[in-house]
Amino acid sequence: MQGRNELKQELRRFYTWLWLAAAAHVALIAAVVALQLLYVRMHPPMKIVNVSLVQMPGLPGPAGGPKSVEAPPAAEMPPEKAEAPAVTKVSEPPPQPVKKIPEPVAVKKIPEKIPLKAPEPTPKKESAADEQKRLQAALDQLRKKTAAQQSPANTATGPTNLSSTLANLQKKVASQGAGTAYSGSGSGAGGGRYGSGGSAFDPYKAKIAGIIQGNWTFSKQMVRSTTGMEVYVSLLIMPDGTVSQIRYDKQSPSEYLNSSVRSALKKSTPFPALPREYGTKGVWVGFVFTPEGIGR
Amino acid sequence: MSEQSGGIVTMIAGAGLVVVMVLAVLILFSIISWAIIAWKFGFVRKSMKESQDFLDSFFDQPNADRLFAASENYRNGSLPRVFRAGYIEYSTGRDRAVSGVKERITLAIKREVNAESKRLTHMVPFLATVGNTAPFIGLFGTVWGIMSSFQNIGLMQSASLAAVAPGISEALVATATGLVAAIPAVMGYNYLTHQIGQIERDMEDFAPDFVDSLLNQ
Repeated sequence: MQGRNELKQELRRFYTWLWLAAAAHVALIAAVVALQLLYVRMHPPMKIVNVSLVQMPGLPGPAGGPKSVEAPPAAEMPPEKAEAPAVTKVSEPPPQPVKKIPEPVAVKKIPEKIPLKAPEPTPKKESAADEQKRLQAALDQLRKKTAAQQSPANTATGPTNLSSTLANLQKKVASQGAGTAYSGSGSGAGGGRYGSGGSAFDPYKAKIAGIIQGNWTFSKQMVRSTTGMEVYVSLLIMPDGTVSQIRYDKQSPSEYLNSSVRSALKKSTPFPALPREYGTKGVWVGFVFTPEGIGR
Repeated sequence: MSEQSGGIVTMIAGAGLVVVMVLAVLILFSIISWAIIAWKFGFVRKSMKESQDFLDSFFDQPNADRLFAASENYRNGSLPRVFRAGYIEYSTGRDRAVSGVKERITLAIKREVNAESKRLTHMVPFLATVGNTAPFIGLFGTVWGIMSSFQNIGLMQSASLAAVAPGISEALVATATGLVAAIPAVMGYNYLTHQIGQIERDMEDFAPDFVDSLLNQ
Protein backbone atom coordinates (compact mmCIF):
# COMPACT_ATOMS: atom_id res chain seq x y z
CA MET A 1 0.00 0.00 0.00
CA GLN A 2 2.78 2.36 0.98
CA GLY A 3 4.62 1.54 -2.20
CA ARG A 4 1.54 2.31 -4.32
CA ASN A 5 1.05 5.61 -2.58
CA GLU A 6 4.66 6.51 -3.18
CA LEU A 7 4.33 5.61 -6.84
CA LYS A 8 1.21 7.74 -7.20
CA GLN A 9 2.92 10.63 -5.48
CA GLU A 10 5.91 10.30 -7.80
CA LEU A 11 3.69 10.19 -10.86
CA ARG A 12 1.86 13.27 -9.66
CA ARG A 13 5.19 15.03 -9.34
CA PHE A 14 6.11 13.92 -12.84
CA TYR A 15 2.87 15.32 -14.27
CA THR A 16 3.54 18.61 -12.51
CA TRP A 17 6.94 18.73 -14.14
CA LEU A 18 5.36 17.83 -17.45
CA TRP A 19 3.05 20.84 -17.29
CA LEU A 20 5.91 23.04 -16.23
CA ALA A 21 8.01 21.80 -19.14
CA ALA A 22 5.16 22.48 -21.57
CA ALA A 23 4.79 25.99 -20.16
CA ALA A 24 8.54 26.51 -20.46
CA HIS A 25 8.43 25.43 -24.11
CA VAL A 26 5.55 27.78 -24.86
CA ALA A 27 7.42 30.61 -23.15
CA LEU A 28 10.61 29.79 -25.05
CA ILE A 29 8.88 29.73 -28.42
CA ALA A 30 7.07 32.97 -27.62
CA ALA A 31 10.37 34.56 -26.59
CA VAL A 32 12.06 33.47 -29.83
CA VAL A 33 9.22 34.90 -31.93
CA ALA A 34 9.14 38.12 -29.91
CA LEU A 35 12.90 38.54 -30.17
CA GLN A 36 12.77 38.01 -33.90
CA LEU A 37 10.03 40.58 -34.33
CA LEU A 38 11.96 42.99 -32.13
CA TYR A 39 15.09 42.43 -34.20
CA VAL A 40 13.20 43.12 -37.42
CA ARG A 41 11.80 46.33 -35.92
CA MET A 42 15.21 47.47 -34.74
CA HIS A 43 16.90 46.56 -38.04
CA PRO A 44 14.38 47.37 -40.76
CA PRO A 45 15.04 45.53 -44.04
CA MET A 46 16.88 47.34 -46.82
CA LYS A 47 15.07 49.10 -49.60
CA ILE A 48 16.42 46.73 -52.22
CA VAL A 49 13.74 44.10 -52.39
CA ASN A 50 14.15 41.55 -55.14
CA VAL A 51 17.34 40.28 -56.68
CA SER A 52 16.52 37.96 -59.50
CA LEU A 53 19.69 36.41 -60.87
CA VAL A 54 18.08 34.23 -63.46
CA GLN A 55 14.83 35.66 -64.67
CA MET A 56 13.44 38.98 -65.67
CA PRO A 57 9.85 38.68 -64.59
CA GLY A 58 8.77 42.12 -65.74
CA LEU A 59 9.46 41.37 -69.37
CA PRO A 60 7.14 38.82 -70.95
CA GLY A 61 7.99 36.62 -73.86
CA PRO A 62 11.32 35.48 -75.19
CA ALA A 63 12.66 39.03 -75.18
CA GLY A 64 12.56 39.01 -71.40
CA GLY A 65 15.36 36.50 -71.00
CA PRO A 66 18.93 37.57 -70.86
CA LYS A 67 19.79 35.23 -73.69
CA SER A 68 18.21 37.59 -76.20
CA VAL A 69 20.85 40.12 -75.32
CA GLU A 70 23.57 38.07 -76.96
CA ALA A 71 25.20 39.18 -80.15
CA PRO A 72 23.32 36.99 -82.67
CA PRO A 73 19.99 38.84 -82.42
CA ALA A 74 21.80 42.09 -82.87
CA ALA A 75 23.58 40.70 -85.87
CA GLU A 76 20.32 39.44 -87.32
CA MET A 77 18.61 42.78 -87.02
CA PRO A 78 20.63 44.85 -89.53
CA PRO A 79 19.65 42.81 -92.63
CA GLU A 80 15.96 43.31 -91.78
CA LYS A 81 16.46 46.98 -91.27
CA ALA A 82 18.58 47.33 -94.33
CA GLU A 83 15.83 46.18 -96.69
CA ALA A 84 13.13 48.80 -96.41
CA PRO A 85 13.29 51.17 -93.44
CA ALA A 86 16.98 51.81 -93.79
CA VAL A 87 16.51 55.52 -94.06
CA THR A 88 14.45 55.84 -90.93
CA LYS A 89 16.81 53.66 -88.94
CA VAL A 90 19.82 55.69 -89.97
CA SER A 91 18.28 58.74 -88.45
CA GLU A 92 17.68 56.98 -85.14
CA PRO A 93 21.13 56.04 -83.87
CA PRO A 94 22.80 59.43 -83.96
CA PRO A 95 20.72 61.22 -81.32
CA GLN A 96 21.75 58.90 -78.54
CA PRO A 97 25.50 58.99 -78.87
CA VAL A 98 25.46 62.68 -79.61
CA LYS A 99 23.56 63.48 -76.47
CA LYS A 100 25.45 61.10 -74.26
CA ILE A 101 28.94 62.22 -75.09
CA PRO A 102 28.65 65.80 -73.90
CA GLU A 103 27.85 64.70 -70.37
CA PRO A 104 30.50 65.93 -68.00
CA VAL A 105 31.27 62.61 -66.33
CA ALA A 106 31.37 60.58 -69.48
CA VAL A 107 34.31 62.67 -70.63
CA LYS A 108 36.39 61.14 -67.85
CA LYS A 109 35.75 57.66 -69.09
CA ILE A 110 36.64 58.31 -72.72
CA PRO A 111 40.35 57.59 -72.31
CA GLU A 112 39.52 54.24 -70.74
CA LYS A 113 37.13 53.27 -73.45
CA ILE A 114 39.50 53.73 -76.35
CA PRO A 115 41.77 50.69 -76.00
CA LEU A 116 38.97 48.22 -75.33
CA LYS A 117 36.70 49.36 -78.09
CA ALA A 118 39.37 49.24 -80.73
CA PRO A 119 39.19 45.46 -81.38
CA GLU A 120 35.40 45.36 -81.44
CA PRO A 121 34.66 47.27 -84.63
CA THR A 122 36.39 44.72 -86.88
CA PRO A 123 33.66 42.08 -86.77
CA LYS A 124 31.02 44.77 -87.27
CA LYS A 125 32.72 46.13 -90.37
CA GLU A 126 32.62 42.74 -91.95
CA SER A 127 28.88 42.44 -91.41
CA ALA A 128 27.53 45.00 -93.89
CA ALA A 129 28.61 47.81 -96.11
CA ASP A 130 25.40 49.63 -95.35
CA GLU A 131 26.45 49.98 -91.81
CA GLN A 132 29.55 51.83 -92.92
CA LYS A 133 27.39 54.30 -94.78
CA ARG A 134 25.18 54.77 -91.80
CA LEU A 135 28.15 55.23 -89.60
CA GLN A 136 29.62 57.84 -91.91
CA ALA A 137 26.36 59.75 -91.92
CA ALA A 138 26.13 59.51 -88.19
CA LEU A 139 29.74 60.57 -87.89
CA ASP A 140 29.08 63.68 -89.93
CA GLN A 141 26.28 64.63 -87.64
CA LEU A 142 28.40 63.87 -84.67
CA ARG A 143 31.18 66.08 -85.93
CA LYS A 144 28.82 68.97 -86.48
CA LYS A 145 27.35 68.72 -83.03
CA THR A 146 30.53 68.12 -81.13
CA ALA A 147 32.63 70.61 -83.10
CA ALA A 148 31.55 73.42 -80.85
CA GLN A 149 32.59 71.55 -77.74
CA GLN A 150 35.91 70.27 -78.92
CA SER A 151 38.92 72.20 -77.68
CA PRO A 152 41.86 73.14 -79.91
CA ALA A 153 43.92 70.48 -78.22
CA ASN A 154 41.45 67.87 -79.24
CA THR A 155 41.39 69.02 -82.82
CA ALA A 156 45.14 68.74 -82.92
CA THR A 157 44.93 65.03 -82.30
CA GLY A 158 42.22 64.75 -84.89
CA PRO A 159 42.89 61.39 -86.57
CA THR A 160 43.13 59.41 -83.33
CA ASN A 161 40.02 61.03 -81.91
CA LEU A 162 38.20 60.40 -85.12
CA SER A 163 38.97 56.71 -85.12
CA SER A 164 38.07 56.39 -81.48
CA THR A 165 34.81 58.23 -82.05
CA LEU A 166 34.11 55.97 -85.00
CA ALA A 167 34.71 52.91 -82.81
CA ASN A 168 32.55 54.44 -80.14
CA LEU A 169 29.78 55.06 -82.61
CA GLN A 170 29.95 51.53 -83.93
CA LYS A 171 29.74 50.24 -80.41
CA LYS A 172 26.68 52.39 -79.75
CA VAL A 173 24.97 51.15 -82.90
CA ALA A 174 25.68 47.56 -81.89
CA SER A 175 24.51 48.12 -78.35
CA GLN A 176 21.36 49.83 -79.62
CA GLY A 177 20.59 46.77 -81.71
CA ALA A 178 21.07 44.52 -78.70
CA GLY A 179 19.05 46.89 -76.58
CA THR A 180 16.12 46.71 -78.95
CA ALA A 181 16.19 42.93 -78.79
CA TYR A 182 16.39 42.93 -75.03
CA SER A 183 13.65 45.42 -74.41
CA GLY A 184 11.31 43.47 -76.67
CA SER A 185 7.68 43.92 -75.72
CA GLY A 186 8.48 45.25 -72.28
CA SER A 187 5.44 46.77 -70.67
CA GLY A 188 4.94 49.16 -67.78
CA ALA A 189 5.45 52.81 -67.23
CA GLY A 190 8.85 52.87 -68.76
CA GLY A 191 8.28 50.59 -71.72
CA GLY A 192 11.38 48.58 -72.55
CA ARG A 193 14.01 48.83 -69.85
CA TYR A 194 17.17 48.25 -71.83
CA GLY A 195 17.95 50.35 -74.82
CA SER A 196 15.76 53.10 -76.12
CA GLY A 197 14.29 50.70 -78.67
CA GLY A 198 13.72 53.37 -81.24
CA SER A 199 12.09 55.80 -78.86
CA ALA A 200 13.14 59.41 -78.60
CA PHE A 201 16.17 60.46 -76.61
CA ASP A 202 15.31 60.84 -72.96
CA PRO A 203 17.21 63.59 -71.14
CA TYR A 204 16.18 62.32 -67.71
CA LYS A 205 17.56 58.85 -68.34
CA ALA A 206 20.72 60.37 -69.74
CA LYS A 207 21.00 62.47 -66.62
CA ILE A 208 20.75 59.56 -64.22
CA ALA A 209 23.13 57.57 -66.42
CA GLY A 210 25.58 60.42 -65.97
CA ILE A 211 25.07 60.41 -62.20
CA ILE A 212 25.68 56.69 -61.98
CA GLN A 213 28.69 56.95 -64.26
CA GLY A 214 30.09 59.63 -62.00
CA ASN A 215 29.72 57.47 -58.94
CA TRP A 216 30.98 54.32 -60.63
CA THR A 217 34.56 53.51 -59.75
CA PHE A 218 35.78 50.61 -61.82
CA SER A 219 39.11 49.78 -63.32
CA LYS A 220 39.06 47.41 -66.23
CA GLN A 221 42.63 46.36 -65.47
CA MET A 222 41.23 44.45 -62.53
CA VAL A 223 39.25 42.17 -64.83
CA ARG A 224 41.01 39.36 -66.65
CA SER A 225 38.72 39.05 -69.65
CA THR A 226 35.87 41.19 -70.89
CA THR A 227 33.77 38.35 -72.28
CA GLY A 228 30.42 38.16 -70.61
CA MET A 229 31.27 41.11 -68.41
CA GLU A 230 27.83 42.64 -68.39
CA VAL A 231 25.56 43.54 -65.53
CA TYR A 232 21.93 44.19 -66.43
CA VAL A 233 20.17 46.26 -63.83
CA SER A 234 16.57 47.49 -63.80
CA LEU A 235 15.61 50.32 -61.51
CA LEU A 236 12.08 51.33 -60.58
CA ILE A 237 12.36 55.07 -60.06
CA MET A 238 9.51 56.67 -58.15
CA PRO A 239 8.23 60.19 -58.93
CA ASP A 240 10.26 61.69 -56.09
CA GLY A 241 13.45 60.16 -57.48
CA THR A 242 13.81 57.37 -54.94
CA VAL A 243 14.50 53.87 -56.17
CA SER A 244 11.94 51.45 -54.81
CA GLN A 245 13.24 48.36 -56.55
CA ILE A 246 16.54 47.24 -58.01
CA ARG A 247 16.68 44.11 -60.11
CA TYR A 248 19.91 42.51 -61.16
CA ASP A 249 18.65 40.74 -64.23
CA LYS A 250 22.04 39.48 -65.22
CA GLN A 251 25.25 39.57 -63.26
CA SER A 252 28.74 39.25 -64.61
CA PRO A 253 31.13 36.47 -63.59
CA SER A 254 33.32 39.10 -61.96
CA GLU A 255 32.29 39.89 -58.41
CA TYR A 256 34.40 43.02 -58.62
CA LEU A 257 32.24 44.40 -61.44
CA ASN A 258 29.03 43.35 -59.66
CA SER A 259 30.00 44.99 -56.39
CA SER A 260 31.22 48.13 -58.13
CA VAL A 261 27.82 48.43 -59.81
CA ARG A 262 26.09 47.85 -56.50
CA SER A 263 28.09 50.55 -54.75
CA ALA A 264 27.63 52.96 -57.67
CA LEU A 265 23.86 52.55 -57.46
CA LYS A 266 23.97 52.95 -53.71
CA LYS A 267 25.93 56.19 -54.01
CA SER A 268 23.76 57.55 -56.81
CA THR A 269 20.36 57.12 -55.17
CA PRO A 270 18.11 59.00 -54.70
CA PHE A 271 17.97 60.42 -58.21
CA PRO A 272 16.48 63.77 -59.16
CA ALA A 273 12.68 63.80 -59.13
CA LEU A 274 10.99 62.38 -62.22
CA PRO A 275 9.59 64.83 -64.76
CA ARG A 276 5.79 65.06 -64.71
CA GLU A 277 5.43 63.39 -68.07
CA TYR A 278 6.33 60.05 -66.48
CA GLY A 279 3.19 60.03 -64.37
CA THR A 280 2.86 59.04 -60.74
CA LYS A 281 3.51 55.32 -60.89
CA GLY A 282 7.24 55.56 -61.39
CA VAL A 283 9.28 54.28 -64.28
CA TRP A 284 11.50 51.28 -64.95
CA VAL A 285 14.91 52.16 -66.32
CA GLY A 286 17.42 49.56 -67.41
CA PHE A 287 21.20 49.91 -67.54
CA VAL A 288 23.88 47.66 -68.90
CA PHE A 289 27.20 47.97 -67.10
CA THR A 290 30.19 46.77 -69.05
CA PRO A 291 33.90 47.39 -68.47
CA GLU A 292 33.62 49.91 -71.31
CA GLY A 293 30.93 51.97 -69.60
CA ILE A 294 27.21 52.24 -69.00
CA GLY A 295 24.66 51.61 -71.70
CA ARG A 296 20.93 51.99 -71.58
CA MET B 1 10.40 41.04 -47.27
CA SER B 2 7.41 39.71 -45.42
CA GLU B 3 9.18 36.38 -45.13
CA GLN B 4 12.12 38.03 -43.49
CA SER B 5 10.00 39.85 -40.98
CA GLY B 6 7.78 36.87 -40.25
CA GLY B 7 10.74 34.74 -39.34
CA ILE B 8 10.24 31.32 -37.83
CA VAL B 9 6.44 31.56 -37.61
CA THR B 10 6.14 32.23 -41.34
CA MET B 11 8.52 29.38 -42.07
CA ILE B 12 6.50 26.92 -40.00
CA ALA B 13 3.24 28.20 -41.45
CA GLY B 14 4.60 27.63 -44.94
CA ALA B 15 5.83 24.13 -44.19
CA GLY B 16 4.00 21.00 -45.36
CA LEU B 17 1.85 18.68 -43.25
CA VAL B 18 4.56 16.09 -42.74
CA VAL B 19 7.08 18.69 -41.60
CA VAL B 20 4.53 20.16 -39.19
CA MET B 21 3.80 16.70 -37.78
CA VAL B 22 7.49 16.02 -37.36
CA LEU B 23 7.85 19.33 -35.54
CA ALA B 24 4.93 18.48 -33.27
CA VAL B 25 6.44 15.08 -32.40
CA LEU B 26 9.80 16.65 -31.69
CA ILE B 27 8.31 19.34 -29.47
CA LEU B 28 6.38 16.64 -27.57
CA PHE B 29 9.59 14.66 -27.15
CA SER B 30 11.34 17.75 -25.93
CA ILE B 31 8.60 18.54 -23.39
CA ILE B 32 8.67 14.99 -21.98
CA SER B 33 12.47 15.01 -21.90
CA TRP B 34 12.59 18.26 -19.97
CA ALA B 35 9.98 16.96 -17.53
CA ILE B 36 11.93 13.73 -16.96
CA ILE B 37 15.19 15.61 -16.51
CA ALA B 38 13.69 18.00 -13.98
CA TRP B 39 11.82 15.27 -12.12
CA LYS B 40 14.75 12.86 -12.00
CA PHE B 41 17.21 15.58 -11.13
CA GLY B 42 15.28 16.37 -7.94
CA PHE B 43 14.69 12.70 -7.26
CA VAL B 44 18.33 11.67 -7.54
CA ARG B 45 19.59 14.66 -5.65
CA LYS B 46 17.24 14.02 -2.74
CA SER B 47 18.13 10.33 -2.73
CA MET B 48 21.86 11.07 -2.61
CA LYS B 49 21.50 13.67 0.12
CA GLU B 50 19.35 11.46 2.35
CA SER B 51 21.64 8.47 1.76
CA GLN B 52 24.60 10.55 2.84
CA ASP B 53 22.79 11.73 6.00
CA PHE B 54 21.74 8.18 6.81
CA LEU B 55 25.31 6.92 6.39
CA ASP B 56 26.46 9.53 8.91
CA SER B 57 23.87 8.20 11.37
CA PHE B 58 24.83 4.62 10.54
CA PHE B 59 28.47 5.17 11.50
CA ASP B 60 27.50 7.16 14.61
CA GLN B 61 24.94 4.70 16.00
CA PRO B 62 25.73 0.99 16.15
CA ASN B 63 22.26 0.17 17.47
CA ALA B 64 20.05 -1.22 14.65
CA ASP B 65 16.77 -0.35 16.31
CA ARG B 66 17.72 3.30 16.72
CA LEU B 67 19.08 3.30 13.21
CA PHE B 68 15.77 2.02 11.94
CA ALA B 69 13.98 4.78 13.81
CA ALA B 70 16.37 7.32 12.26
CA SER B 71 15.85 5.87 8.78
CA GLU B 72 12.16 6.84 8.98
CA ASN B 73 13.28 10.45 8.46
CA TYR B 74 14.97 9.52 5.17
CA ARG B 75 12.12 7.94 3.21
CA ASN B 76 13.41 9.07 -0.21
CA GLY B 77 17.00 7.94 0.25
CA SER B 78 18.05 4.71 -1.42
CA LEU B 79 20.42 3.46 1.32
CA PRO B 80 17.89 3.98 4.17
CA ARG B 81 15.30 2.09 2.12
CA VAL B 82 17.68 -0.83 1.64
CA PHE B 83 18.53 -0.83 5.33
CA ARG B 84 14.85 -0.76 6.28
CA ALA B 85 14.10 -3.76 4.05
CA GLY B 86 16.92 -5.71 5.75
CA TYR B 87 15.82 -4.66 9.22
CA ILE B 88 12.19 -5.72 8.59
CA GLU B 89 13.40 -9.14 7.46
CA TYR B 90 15.73 -9.38 10.49
CA SER B 91 13.01 -8.42 12.98
CA THR B 92 10.58 -10.94 11.45
CA GLY B 93 13.16 -13.74 11.77
CA ARG B 94 14.11 -12.66 15.27
CA ASP B 95 10.47 -12.81 16.41
CA ARG B 96 9.87 -16.26 14.87
CA ALA B 97 13.36 -17.57 15.63
CA VAL B 98 13.75 -19.01 12.13
CA SER B 99 16.99 -20.46 10.83
CA GLY B 100 19.12 -19.01 7.99
CA VAL B 101 18.61 -15.41 9.05
CA LYS B 102 21.68 -14.17 7.26
CA GLU B 103 20.58 -15.59 3.91
CA ARG B 104 17.10 -14.19 4.33
CA ILE B 105 18.41 -10.71 5.19
CA THR B 106 20.87 -10.81 2.29
CA LEU B 107 18.10 -11.83 -0.08
CA ALA B 108 15.77 -9.10 1.19
CA ILE B 109 18.50 -6.47 0.82
CA LYS B 110 19.32 -7.68 -2.71
CA ARG B 111 15.67 -7.51 -3.66
CA GLU B 112 15.41 -3.96 -2.36
CA VAL B 113 18.59 -2.91 -4.18
CA ASN B 114 17.06 -4.16 -7.43
CA ALA B 115 13.78 -2.41 -6.72
CA GLU B 116 15.61 0.79 -5.90
CA SER B 117 17.64 0.60 -9.11
CA LYS B 118 14.43 0.16 -11.06
CA ARG B 119 12.85 3.11 -9.29
CA LEU B 120 15.87 5.32 -9.97
CA THR B 121 16.19 4.45 -13.66
CA HIS B 122 12.45 4.67 -14.35
CA MET B 123 11.86 6.76 -17.55
CA VAL B 124 15.55 7.61 -17.91
CA PRO B 125 15.97 5.42 -21.04
CA PHE B 126 13.42 7.68 -22.75
CA LEU B 127 16.06 10.41 -22.68
CA ALA B 128 18.45 8.11 -24.52
CA THR B 129 15.75 7.35 -27.06
CA VAL B 130 15.10 11.05 -27.66
CA GLY B 131 18.81 11.78 -27.82
CA ASN B 132 19.32 9.12 -30.44
CA THR B 133 16.22 9.46 -32.56
CA ALA B 134 15.29 13.15 -32.48
CA PRO B 135 18.02 14.24 -34.94
CA PHE B 136 16.95 11.50 -37.33
CA ILE B 137 13.30 12.43 -37.03
CA GLY B 138 14.27 16.04 -37.72
CA LEU B 139 16.34 14.91 -40.68
CA PHE B 140 13.38 12.98 -41.99
CA GLY B 141 11.30 16.17 -41.82
CA THR B 142 14.02 18.08 -43.65
CA VAL B 143 14.36 15.47 -46.38
CA TRP B 144 10.60 15.40 -46.83
CA GLY B 145 10.43 19.20 -46.91
CA ILE B 146 13.21 19.46 -49.47
CA MET B 147 11.56 16.74 -51.54
CA SER B 148 8.26 18.61 -51.73
CA SER B 149 10.08 21.90 -52.24
CA PHE B 150 11.86 20.46 -55.29
CA GLN B 151 8.54 19.18 -56.52
CA ASN B 152 7.13 22.71 -56.26
CA ILE B 153 10.15 24.07 -58.10
CA GLY B 154 9.43 21.62 -60.89
CA LEU B 155 5.82 22.73 -61.04
CA MET B 156 6.80 26.40 -61.06
CA GLN B 157 9.33 25.68 -63.80
CA SER B 158 11.70 28.09 -62.19
CA ALA B 159 15.00 27.45 -60.48
CA SER B 160 15.43 30.94 -59.14
CA LEU B 161 16.74 31.51 -55.64
CA ALA B 162 13.34 32.89 -54.64
CA ALA B 163 11.73 29.59 -55.59
CA VAL B 164 14.33 27.29 -54.04
CA ALA B 165 15.36 28.99 -50.80
CA PRO B 166 12.08 29.26 -48.81
CA GLY B 167 11.27 25.56 -49.13
CA ILE B 168 14.74 24.52 -48.02
CA SER B 169 14.79 26.92 -45.08
CA GLU B 170 11.36 25.66 -43.98
CA ALA B 171 12.60 22.11 -44.18
CA LEU B 172 15.74 22.88 -42.19
CA VAL B 173 13.60 24.02 -39.23
CA ALA B 174 12.85 20.34 -38.64
CA THR B 175 16.54 19.45 -38.26
CA ALA B 176 17.07 22.39 -35.95
CA THR B 177 14.13 21.32 -33.78
CA GLY B 178 15.46 17.75 -33.70
CA LEU B 179 18.78 19.00 -32.40
CA VAL B 180 17.08 21.27 -29.86
CA ALA B 181 15.19 18.25 -28.53
CA ALA B 182 18.18 15.89 -28.62
CA ILE B 183 20.90 18.01 -27.00
CA PRO B 184 19.27 18.51 -23.56
CA ALA B 185 18.08 14.89 -23.60
CA VAL B 186 21.61 13.56 -24.15
CA MET B 187 23.06 15.90 -21.54
CA GLY B 188 20.38 14.94 -19.02
CA TYR B 189 20.79 11.25 -19.75
CA ASN B 190 24.55 11.36 -19.21
CA TYR B 191 24.19 13.27 -15.94
CA LEU B 192 21.44 11.04 -14.56
CA THR B 193 23.08 7.73 -15.50
CA HIS B 194 26.27 8.89 -13.83
CA GLN B 195 24.45 9.85 -10.61
CA ILE B 196 22.28 6.73 -10.58
CA GLY B 197 25.37 4.58 -11.16
CA GLN B 198 26.98 6.16 -8.12
CA ILE B 199 23.93 5.41 -5.93
CA GLU B 200 23.84 1.81 -7.19
CA ARG B 201 27.51 1.36 -6.36
CA ASP B 202 26.88 2.73 -2.86
CA MET B 203 24.03 0.27 -2.37
CA GLU B 204 26.19 -2.64 -3.55
CA ASP B 205 29.03 -1.55 -1.24
CA PHE B 206 26.97 -1.05 1.89
CA ALA B 207 24.63 -4.05 1.59
CA PRO B 208 27.09 -6.45 3.37
CA ASP B 209 27.72 -3.83 6.07
CA PHE B 210 24.01 -3.58 6.73
CA VAL B 211 23.72 -7.38 7.03
CA ASP B 212 26.64 -7.48 9.47
CA SER B 213 25.29 -4.65 11.57
CA LEU B 214 21.91 -6.40 11.88
CA LEU B 215 23.45 -9.79 12.73
CA ASN B 216 25.80 -8.30 15.33
CA GLN B 217 22.88 -6.98 17.39
